[in-house]
Amino acid sequence: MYNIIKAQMYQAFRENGTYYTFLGGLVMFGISMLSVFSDEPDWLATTGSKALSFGTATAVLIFVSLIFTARICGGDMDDKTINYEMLTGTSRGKVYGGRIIISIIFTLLIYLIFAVLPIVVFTVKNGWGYTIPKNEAILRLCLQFLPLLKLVCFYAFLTFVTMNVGAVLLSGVVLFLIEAIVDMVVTEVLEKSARVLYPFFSYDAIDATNHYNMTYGFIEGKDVPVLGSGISNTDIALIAIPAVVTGAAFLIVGYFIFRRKDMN
Amino acid sequence: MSDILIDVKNLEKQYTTKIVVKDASFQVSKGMICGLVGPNGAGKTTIMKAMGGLIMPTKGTISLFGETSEKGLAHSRSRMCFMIETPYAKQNMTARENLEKLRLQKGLPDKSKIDEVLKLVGLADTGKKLVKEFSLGMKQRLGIAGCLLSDPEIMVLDEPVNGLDPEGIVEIRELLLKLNREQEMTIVISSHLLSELSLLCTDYVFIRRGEIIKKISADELKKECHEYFLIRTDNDSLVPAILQNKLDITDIHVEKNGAVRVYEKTDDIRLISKTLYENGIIPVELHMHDANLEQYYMNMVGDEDVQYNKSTDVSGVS
Repeated sequence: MYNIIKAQMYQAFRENGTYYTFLGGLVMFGISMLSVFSDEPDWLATTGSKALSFGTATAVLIFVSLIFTARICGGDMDDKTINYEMLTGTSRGKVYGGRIIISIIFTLLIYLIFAVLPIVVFTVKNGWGYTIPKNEAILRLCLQFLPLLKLVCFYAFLTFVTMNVGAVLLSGVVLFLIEAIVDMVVTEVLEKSARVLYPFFSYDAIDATNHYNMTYGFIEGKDVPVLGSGISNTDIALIAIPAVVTGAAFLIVGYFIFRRKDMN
Repeated sequence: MSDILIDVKNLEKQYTTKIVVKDASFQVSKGMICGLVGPNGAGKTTIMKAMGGLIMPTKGTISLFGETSEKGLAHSRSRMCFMIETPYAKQNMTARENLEKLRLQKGLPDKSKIDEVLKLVGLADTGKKLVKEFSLGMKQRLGIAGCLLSDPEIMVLDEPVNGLDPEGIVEIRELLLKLNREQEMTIVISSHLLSELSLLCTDYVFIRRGEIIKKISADELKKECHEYFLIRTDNDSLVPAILQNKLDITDIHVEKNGAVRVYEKTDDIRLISKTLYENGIIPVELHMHDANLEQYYMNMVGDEDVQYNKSTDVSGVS
């Protein structure tokens, strides 16, 4: 499997699509940051802990991980180069596993770049601040990676089943729109808490960790967003357990389908 | 270990209602160049794909280097190389980059092998040219280069000379013959260019509509295709003895229907007919046969399949 990972890495860094996807993510992230900072007159003084509460990276992470996963898992199916791996004696398990690992590595990289790096940059520039204690921030950052991981598993599952990158990209966008509509119906029409959606919808689960129990406090003469209370164990379970279980289920079912699939 | 490297037994592949390969069995021994012969859609590629693990057989077994388990087959495939349908290559990468990716994927330590195989297939000077700018022939060569990267013991090639110019066809043929001769490489090859196969193969497997209709060695085929007199008489059973005793002809083959094939003294039809007549045998049919692989193939598949073959584009068979 290590050889597949090496070969996939070699290929990914030689494909323009990798760079275009990343640039697209950067543009999307930039627009998202601009929209947040347009409401923040003192944005240059943003602290690291406050940057975490913005949640500017959520949509970027979802779309960029969608594109990367679909390309990594399905790109070689379009031109049939994936067949070479099987023909040269690589087991289907390794072909499958190698791509899943690369997809997760890329998702982790973009997560670090879009979700963690801005917090580090603002912390270096303006200090940590008072919005969220560091241990709570670390918990939330770890926690919000899990629903993203579940999405990656789902996209990988879809790609290996349909063997069609275009169909997976379209499904990802449609899923995102459905999540947004259902979220709106639940929270605004039914006036229920989005908590009920954590186990099912990654956007809600990721975004929750940005805004969860945030309130305002008056510190050093300024109104700043501060944590009301830490994320509850129930909500940790609601976010983490379904993400891990369904993510694993997608991977297992995907493998068993791919294992017997004809590569025509 | 047995000399049989590939053993296909009762292979069947069915897609929903259509059976594309039916009860196919054949063996390939070490050092053989085995030609799969048949029109497009006969099932040649399906058999190769099943050998390569790309498709799952509905029934039957495939043994590679004596291995039949999933794990054993995967390991055996690492000692083989396959080029099935269009050679697979990343279009936005150069030939060297494609081979480097393949080298990493196969876990081969020797980087210099890339230069060696590129030179061997005549792609050493393609530089930064992307594969998408390659001609089909160049892509075929790249596919063969990929095959040679890991010094395989068996090559499975599906239409390897497709799209090559005449010079390229000769080069590939000579390369395959050289690999077979010098490295004892076993080759399974399919082509619709029967004349090309006849210059390469040591054995043939004829496939029609998913079924293997004949397996024959090149020597047997040569004998069957060789120039001969076909003699039918009013008393066929006496003919071999007369020819042996009177004309010292020993290279004789008696067909199932009693007709006699004579492979010697074929330049003296008068002498043969005169001798038979003098011994009380009246020839009712006596004519020369000189068939090649294409004619042999056409004779075997019969008139019914001529239409089928034409409709499925068996180039080279006319």
